[in-house]
Amino acid sequence: MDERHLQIKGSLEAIVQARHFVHQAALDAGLSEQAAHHCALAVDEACTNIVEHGYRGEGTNQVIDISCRKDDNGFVITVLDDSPAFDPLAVPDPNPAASMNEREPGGWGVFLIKKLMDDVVYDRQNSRNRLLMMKRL
Amino acid sequence: MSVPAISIRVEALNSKIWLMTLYGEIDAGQSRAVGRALNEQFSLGHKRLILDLAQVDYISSDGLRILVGAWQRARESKGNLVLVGVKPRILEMLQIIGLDLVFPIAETQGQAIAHFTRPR
Repeated sequence: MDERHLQIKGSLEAIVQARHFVHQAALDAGLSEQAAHHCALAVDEACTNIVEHGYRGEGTNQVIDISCRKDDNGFVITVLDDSPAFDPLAVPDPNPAASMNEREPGGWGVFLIKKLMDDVVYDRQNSRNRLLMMKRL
Repeated sequence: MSVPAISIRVEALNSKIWLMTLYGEIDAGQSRAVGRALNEQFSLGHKRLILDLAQVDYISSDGLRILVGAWQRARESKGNLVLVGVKPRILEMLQIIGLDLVFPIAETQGQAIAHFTRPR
């Protein structure tokens, strides 16, 4: 599978495009329907965090770049954005066993990404946030 | 690419229990519409709600957050929110976050109705 790229606007309404793009690429790379769903959900959660927290809302002229490729280890999704430096992996995990009254709001999206993907890495590249998410084939 | 809009139908099952059926995908862009629809029901005093997700193929954490908020509001009103028709991929998400222990989940509408009639 050749590497594929998609650029979307930094708005919540555009995220469906990223989700469908990644789902199809994952299937084309040979992942199962369930694994492709996990990849689509992971990119949705990553993009939603960028729009809501990085870009702080909608109506901006900012973009999110998504790419998918297949390598020896698996299916790799890269998400690039231009919001201030922020490592989503540093967000503390919620406690799934805690009662709702004890839970802090938020953090579910990143927690899902960590649970659904086999490897997740954050770094900065050319002054952009880069999130790499890998699913084994 | 067009955004699949969420579609919502509400009907009274009897004088005390209301059924809300959702159709579509509930991501962050669509979850607000679901939240508004749920709030409208609570404003009308409909605090015993069954939420049918059989036609929902996709839900993100933002969508789940809206459902948790509705469940909390229902409980505060001494009502409840029962999920029915939960597909395996959505159940998997609920289990990962630990929400399967929070929400009453029924397999059939009849079982969902029974949640409201059994003694606590």
